[in-house]
Amino acid sequence: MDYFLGLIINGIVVGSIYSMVALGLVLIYKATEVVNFAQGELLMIGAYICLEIIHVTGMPFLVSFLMTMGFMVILALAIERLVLRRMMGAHALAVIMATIGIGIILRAVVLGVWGATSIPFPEVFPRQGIDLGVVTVSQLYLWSFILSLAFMAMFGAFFKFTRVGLVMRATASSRKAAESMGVPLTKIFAIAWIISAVVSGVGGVLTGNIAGLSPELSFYGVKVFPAVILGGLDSIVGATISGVIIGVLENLGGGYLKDLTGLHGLGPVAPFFILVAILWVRPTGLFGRKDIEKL
Amino acid sequence: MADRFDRVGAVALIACLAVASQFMGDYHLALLTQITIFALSAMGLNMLLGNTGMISIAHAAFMGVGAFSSAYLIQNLGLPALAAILLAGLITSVVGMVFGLPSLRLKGVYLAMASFAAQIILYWAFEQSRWLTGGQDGRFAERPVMLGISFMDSHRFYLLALAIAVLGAVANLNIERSRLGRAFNAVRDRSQAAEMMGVNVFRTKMASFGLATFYAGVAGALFGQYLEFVAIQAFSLSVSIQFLALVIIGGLGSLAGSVLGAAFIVLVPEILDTTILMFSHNTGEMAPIRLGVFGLIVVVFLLFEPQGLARAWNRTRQWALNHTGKGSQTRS
Repeated sequence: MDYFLGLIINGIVVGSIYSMVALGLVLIYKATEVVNFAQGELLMIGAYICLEIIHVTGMPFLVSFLMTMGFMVILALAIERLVLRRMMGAHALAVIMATIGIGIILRAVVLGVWGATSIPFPEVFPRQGIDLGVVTVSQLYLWSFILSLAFMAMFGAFFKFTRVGLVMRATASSRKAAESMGVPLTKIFAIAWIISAVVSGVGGVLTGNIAGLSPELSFYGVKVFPAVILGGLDSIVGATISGVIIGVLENLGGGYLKDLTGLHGLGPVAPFFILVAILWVRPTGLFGRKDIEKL
Repeated sequence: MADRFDRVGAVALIACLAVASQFMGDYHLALLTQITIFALSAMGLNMLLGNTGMISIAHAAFMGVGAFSSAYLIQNLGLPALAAILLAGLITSVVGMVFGLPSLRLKGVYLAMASFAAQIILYWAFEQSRWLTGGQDGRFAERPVMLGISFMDSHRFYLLALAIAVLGAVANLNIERSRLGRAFNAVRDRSQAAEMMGVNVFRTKMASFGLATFYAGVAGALFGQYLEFVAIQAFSLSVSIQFLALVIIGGLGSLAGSVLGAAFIVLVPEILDTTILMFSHNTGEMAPIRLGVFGLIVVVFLLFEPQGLARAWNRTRQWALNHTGKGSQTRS
């Protein structure tokens, strides 16, 4: 029973990070109709930058964390301005390939500067467990969970209550109508990229804390794809919920399916089986709009 | 006029390659063989991506299916090499169509994700299936003996690869001009209109998947035999991405693009390596620089020459034609 609960909690924590990064992916898709295949690499670079700032400046984690966010903003602006804005209206395949190209460049930077070996993240949150009555949860996990919830709540409030958030929602629901009402599309696109890069950066720092730093971190970002497809590529609520679902399923899969099937490493792959199954059965996902990307 | 010029040129090029390869050193021959096999594989992906407008981020995994199944068919089941290569192509084709099934309802980014999942699932399956792939250790693949001729020797093996690639290219050109080829383009440009004109969209898409993965399977089988050893790492996600980049850099929907792109993707890292070695002897720096330049090239091509090398080549050829006064008709 403890094993089961442990898997569930682990899944919820990792899942909440997926949710947050999925939020970024959905956001870019809604605002710009671009699926960002460099999301995983954004996550990875966020983690490395945070580590580097801690090492070089020796500042406390919180300050370094904020500086990392600043870096992600600049990076997002650069990506949007230098590449994606020039590709507005280009074919979907070309845009996907462009984001893949950006991902490759980021990966090359990480490999060049920090190398391919795994680096431990300095301990920010103690791994020591806290007794929650039913189960003991590591403080690190608890903090990761709280932080990703906080970020999601923050962005939720941003969309709901601020003027920019309103304009972004308007752009997402109809780009043409928004443009004719005088919404500056390029600015909205830039903001979408910024938010997406920042949540990826936060996700990177949190996963880096949990799993340590290596170029493999980008795979965590990739696992956001099953989450967004499950939730519906254009649904923010869907992304949030299904991130957690994917996290839990992945952990349960890794924990139980191995004994059942005798196959190794099924956990990380399980979400992709789900992805294919959803695309077969219900491509719009649980919460997605019906009218998109049909024949 | 220009068409005949092309045909004569192509035959001359193939003859040149066949003769010149026999006098090449091992290093250059290895590069040439790799370009030839990659070009064959790229033709399939280009048919899918360029002609039918469907993206696949799993091309390398499909090559892997071909490589492993041909090695298994030859070594474990004792099939003759020629039959094994063809059968490997067919097996890959079936696997490809299974993963292509969602394309019934999907396009664009959704299809990209479906194929992305295919890459990850297939790669994981390679890792698990030790009986087929040897797991992390990989497995040996012997050079084939066909119709009593042994292709053990690298120079001879190149001729085999060249012959199969030429067959693939001829088939590619003929398919493009056939009813099916036109249907590919119709589905790419306006699938609804195509359906109304009596094109069975689903069947056309499946045919495109089947053909693309058949090419991948055959090329994969040859690739394994050329290396004489098949390791699963050769069919990872990054290799799939390389193939996508190859087709985009070469030129979408163009046979010349597949060939030029293959040459580009094989030669540029080699040229880079030699250049880096001139300035530094720290070989540890090579991989990241190679990777970074590769990413930059992809982005730069998308921004500034989205039609790829094939168009650049066409421009040059047109210029040459105009200046030698052989043909003044313009043909894009």
